Amino acid sequence: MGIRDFFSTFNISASALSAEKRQLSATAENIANANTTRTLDGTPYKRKVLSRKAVSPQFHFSRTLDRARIKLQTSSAQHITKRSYTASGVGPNGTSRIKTEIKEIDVFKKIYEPNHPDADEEGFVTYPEINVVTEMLELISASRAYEANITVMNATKNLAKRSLEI
Amino acid sequence: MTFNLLSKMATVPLLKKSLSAYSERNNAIAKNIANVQTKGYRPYKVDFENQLQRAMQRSAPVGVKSDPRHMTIGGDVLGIQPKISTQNEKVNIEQEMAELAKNQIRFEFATRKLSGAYEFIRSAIRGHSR
Repeated sequence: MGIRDFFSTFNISASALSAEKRQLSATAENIANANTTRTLDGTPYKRKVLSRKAVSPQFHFSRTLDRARIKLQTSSAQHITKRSYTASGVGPNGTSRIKTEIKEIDVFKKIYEPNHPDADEEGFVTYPEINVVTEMLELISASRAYEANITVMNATKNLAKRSLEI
Repeated sequence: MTFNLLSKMATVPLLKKSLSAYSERNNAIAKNIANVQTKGYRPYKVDFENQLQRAMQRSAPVGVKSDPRHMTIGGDVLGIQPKISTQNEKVNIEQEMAELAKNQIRFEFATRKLSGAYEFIRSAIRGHSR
């Protein structure tokens, strides 16, 4: 593990931070639009849900460098072979960052409100199926997860600093 | 004095090993905490202490090699690698945070010991007459 591996740890925490931030904004949008019956395309608001996936990084400097190097043939055992740069920053099994995707869930509830401007012929209004309590829970767990990742980042920073003090 | 210096230096390779194991573990903990809300994620666990203990029980004290012709004494301890495994249960955030704190303290201990060992050599070179 060199200093470069600390940086890869920073990137992991950073990707988690941005994932939590996206979760926060999706939740904020859900709470704000809990009673929205008409959006730009005429449908009621759809609840936004964040799906997370652990992915391995697409780009790694040392691997890219390794690919770009000129390969030399060794016809004798005494020839010098190229030095290999090990891509150790990827970590265990290559899983590293978080990829997030916002999905819209079209589950609605119908409430009988005949005087509502968006009511259908039978007098029902279609509302998005959003439970504000569930959203608040999501909000709290996202902000706690954000804090946890900040702590990890600080810990990694301390380790990196300590190793420079040897 | 020579023996003293050698015994100080004998810990250096082991300390280096443990430092790299701790930073590996820090990386694993960062991954686990980052993926605390990811569905289907399996947390990583880095085991170093158990491996070290087993290696210590197997072999005698480690001999320092100042010359390539020296025989290896108790080299098993330096041959150990931190073992990375995936757990079957979900990420336990409290446990991970506790591990993170512990890991930081261990890292600090190892860096202090290491700089102590280097300070020892430095003072041997400099001398204390000044």
